[in-house]
Amino acid sequence: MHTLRLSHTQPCTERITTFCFEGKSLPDWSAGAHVTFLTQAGPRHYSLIRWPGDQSDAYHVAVQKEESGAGGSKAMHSLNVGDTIKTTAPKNDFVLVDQGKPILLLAGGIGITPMISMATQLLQDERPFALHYSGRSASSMAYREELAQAFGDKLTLHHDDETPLDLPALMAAHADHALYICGPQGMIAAARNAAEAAGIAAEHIHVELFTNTVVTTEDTAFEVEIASTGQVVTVAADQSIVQALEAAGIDVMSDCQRGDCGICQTKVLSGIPDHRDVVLSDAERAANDVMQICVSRARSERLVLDIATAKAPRRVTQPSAPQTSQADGIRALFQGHQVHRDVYISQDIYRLEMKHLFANTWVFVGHDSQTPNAGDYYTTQIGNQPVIMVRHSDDQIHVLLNRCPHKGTKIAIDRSGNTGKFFRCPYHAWSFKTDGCLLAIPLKKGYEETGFEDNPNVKGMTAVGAVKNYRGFIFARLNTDGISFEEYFGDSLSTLDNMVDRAPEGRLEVAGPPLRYMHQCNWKMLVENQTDTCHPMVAHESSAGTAVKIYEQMGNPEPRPPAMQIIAPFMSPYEFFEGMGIRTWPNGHGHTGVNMSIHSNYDAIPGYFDAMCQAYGEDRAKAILDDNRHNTIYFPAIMAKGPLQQIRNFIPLAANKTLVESWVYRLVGAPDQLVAMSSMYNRMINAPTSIVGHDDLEMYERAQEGLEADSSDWVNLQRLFEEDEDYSQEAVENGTTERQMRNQFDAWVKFMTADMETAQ
Amino acid sequence: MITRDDVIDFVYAEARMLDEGRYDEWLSQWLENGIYWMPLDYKQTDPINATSLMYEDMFMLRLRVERLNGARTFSQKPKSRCHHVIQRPFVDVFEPETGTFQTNTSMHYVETRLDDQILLALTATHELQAVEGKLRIARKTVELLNSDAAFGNIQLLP
Ligand code: FES
Ligand SMILES: [Fe+2]
Repeated sequence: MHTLRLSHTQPCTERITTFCFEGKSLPDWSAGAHVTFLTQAGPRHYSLIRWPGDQSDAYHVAVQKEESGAGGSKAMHSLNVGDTIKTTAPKNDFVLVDQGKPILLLAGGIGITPMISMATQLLQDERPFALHYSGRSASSMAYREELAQAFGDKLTLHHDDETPLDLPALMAAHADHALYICGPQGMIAAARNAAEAAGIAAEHIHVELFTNTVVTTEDTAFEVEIASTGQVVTVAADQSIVQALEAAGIDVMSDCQRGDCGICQTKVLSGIPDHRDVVLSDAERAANDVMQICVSRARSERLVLDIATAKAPRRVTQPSAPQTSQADGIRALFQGHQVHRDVYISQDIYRLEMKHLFANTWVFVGHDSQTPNAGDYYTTQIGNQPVIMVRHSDDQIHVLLNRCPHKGTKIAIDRSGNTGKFFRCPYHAWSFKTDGCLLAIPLKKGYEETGFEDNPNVKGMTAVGAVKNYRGFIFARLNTDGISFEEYFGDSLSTLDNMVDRAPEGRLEVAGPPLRYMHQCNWKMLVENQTDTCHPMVAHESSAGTAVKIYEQMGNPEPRPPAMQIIAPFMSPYEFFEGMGIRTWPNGHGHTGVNMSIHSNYDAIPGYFDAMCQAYGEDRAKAILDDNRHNTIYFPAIMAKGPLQQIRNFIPLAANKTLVESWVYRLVGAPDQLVAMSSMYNRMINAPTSIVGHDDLEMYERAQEGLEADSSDWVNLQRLFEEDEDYSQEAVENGTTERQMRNQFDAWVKFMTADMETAQ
Repeated sequence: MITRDDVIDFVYAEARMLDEGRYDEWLSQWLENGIYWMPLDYKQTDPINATSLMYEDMFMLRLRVERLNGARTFSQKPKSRCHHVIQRPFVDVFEPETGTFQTNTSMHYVETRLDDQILLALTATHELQAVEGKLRIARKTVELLNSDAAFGNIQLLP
């Protein structure tokens, strides 16, 4: 450590001043060396300058005032003649070596300072060299006259005003030279490229960054301000910006930590970054409006960064020409008491359903307990659209179309997982934030001036039009415009409410993976079957009827075998189902079991009622548990069982192919026997191994095949039909009516055609 | 005294009863509190508090068997057929003193009906108990290699 005293200063240009320091027995140094000044703003590094004939042992440095007021340069400029400052001993990371070649010295801007000492040394050693010095304008370049005087015709000045630097020509003319470069990093990189192109070997290329902030030896602290919040975080000398922000609890993206993946790229609103990455192009570097915060630092005292986020693209309603005739064609398929068979067997209708019906309605996606932590995702489909449901860093659930905007590759194919802070396409490593925003593209330079920035199709992974988290259940509407969630579901949400209210803690958690049962039939057959109360005693006689028979043969033992609780009620007589009642709501929703249901007579589970009374009080607990709705259809394609915490999702894969996923949820705060009961029901009724399931699937598949027969174009829906039924009004009717099926087709027409006529 | 061969032969014989549709005889091989478990999730550990494909007591197994022969069992008109190809069972537990045995058997199970045929690869674990000198099934666990795949009907018993 040395103490230097400022003996005099000499302004060179508007921004650059020479400082002359004296001190006791200062160590000697060689050309290219720098000293580190311990300023109030932290250590700053300056190259030492020696001119030909200068015999003094004073230290000369040139300090450039940084535009945005770099702490170090400000601290230096505030020194008065006579003030003292501590420094380290001189250190040389940029040594002039003899490689038996003539020397080309290339300086950019303030990078001239070590070059002066080198030229002095070369002159003294009588070695051949050329000095090229480049700057923005003549007036911004320090020491122009002194250099000309000292080095004569060995000096060539370049400035953008008159004689700009032509690197390829310069390097081609000096291909046999050893090269020393000092200047801004962009210039160094460009010069290095040109040198290599001219055939100069890497071992003959020596570089140093701006000497006033030599950072290869020692980094300094600086501040980062978050533009959106005004929060200021100090980045210590031994910390990266990413580390400092994370330590301050600010969530940022990063991956490689080496400055080559582009993931951490951040907008710079003010301040000058010290770029140390290999991602940015020269033009991007020079613009100083973005930086890679994993490695790059600051030249200015403070950087103001834009950590806020861009918006992911939204799936937009597909504009289509007015298609009145197509809408009329759809309307003609439903006649109130009957529906055209094409709605089940035509692949063209299926495609229209995917394009319109499943885009205009609110479709079930999943449950938020499937993705409890940031970065957790789950893949599924909305109609035929592959989607990813993912929890973003802000704890919100986002639903993104599962397609890379580059070549179409599915971003995730496992059914669930954790992706960290971003998705990375496995094909070419385009990366996306968990809200879909495009984060980075490797070698992005290749898209410069290609119109890429203005191409709307590559902005990121496309988000669905709208997402709603209703008490843990995630629904999405593909189209950006359309009916609101509240208007769409209205009072039908009471079934989901009842399901969730049955948890003493008022929330559900998914209990394991779903049953996955493939049906070779149209999805609507399954949806209709959920409120078809005239089939159980017929189609399920084989299973439920046999169960009752075996139980009687056993002498009706108590307690009942579990199958008797669950399967036997399917054998209830018509009167029972008539009395159950059916309620229909607008927009295709409805349920069986208004008054009671086959779920009303389950054995009580010890401790559960007490837990409910404690949570809700006895009256409310009773009211919740007395509501034993059977099947609730949330149009278009799920069925919910409130009393058993189940959701069945009918995913249409083709006109004649439907994947049924049957989920079970745990009532948080309730005894385990409840989830055991729901799981038992699920495997006994909904599994591909379930005898009840076999009964039903047999009927659907026979219908799918039978509908090909040309006896008639129509499928009957006439049970308890009345002319002028108004499906926009809630209604409660006899439990064997097919009104709910008609209600579904009314909504089917409404939402198939909703966007067919919007384009004017 | 029960020998290793007795244990191995039992597993082969059980598969043959299923393939030949000798279900009454098959049911008589079970302990009254026996359980047939087919997990849904790969490496599932809890059969009860999450969904399984099957977790069936004797009442359910009897119901299954009885249903296969019912006059109005439409999904069995025509009937399904099945076929097991089994590898020689490993005898993992052999305790003749207490009459406790356990085997691990790799199988390919084929089920067919009309024009459809499915093939399932699986590992069956038989937990057997000797009762009056005869082996009886206390628990049979059938782990399908692709238990988490979407299936159509699986109507008979692997
Ligand atoms: S397809 Fe995704 S990065 Fe190329
Ligand atoms: Fe049914």
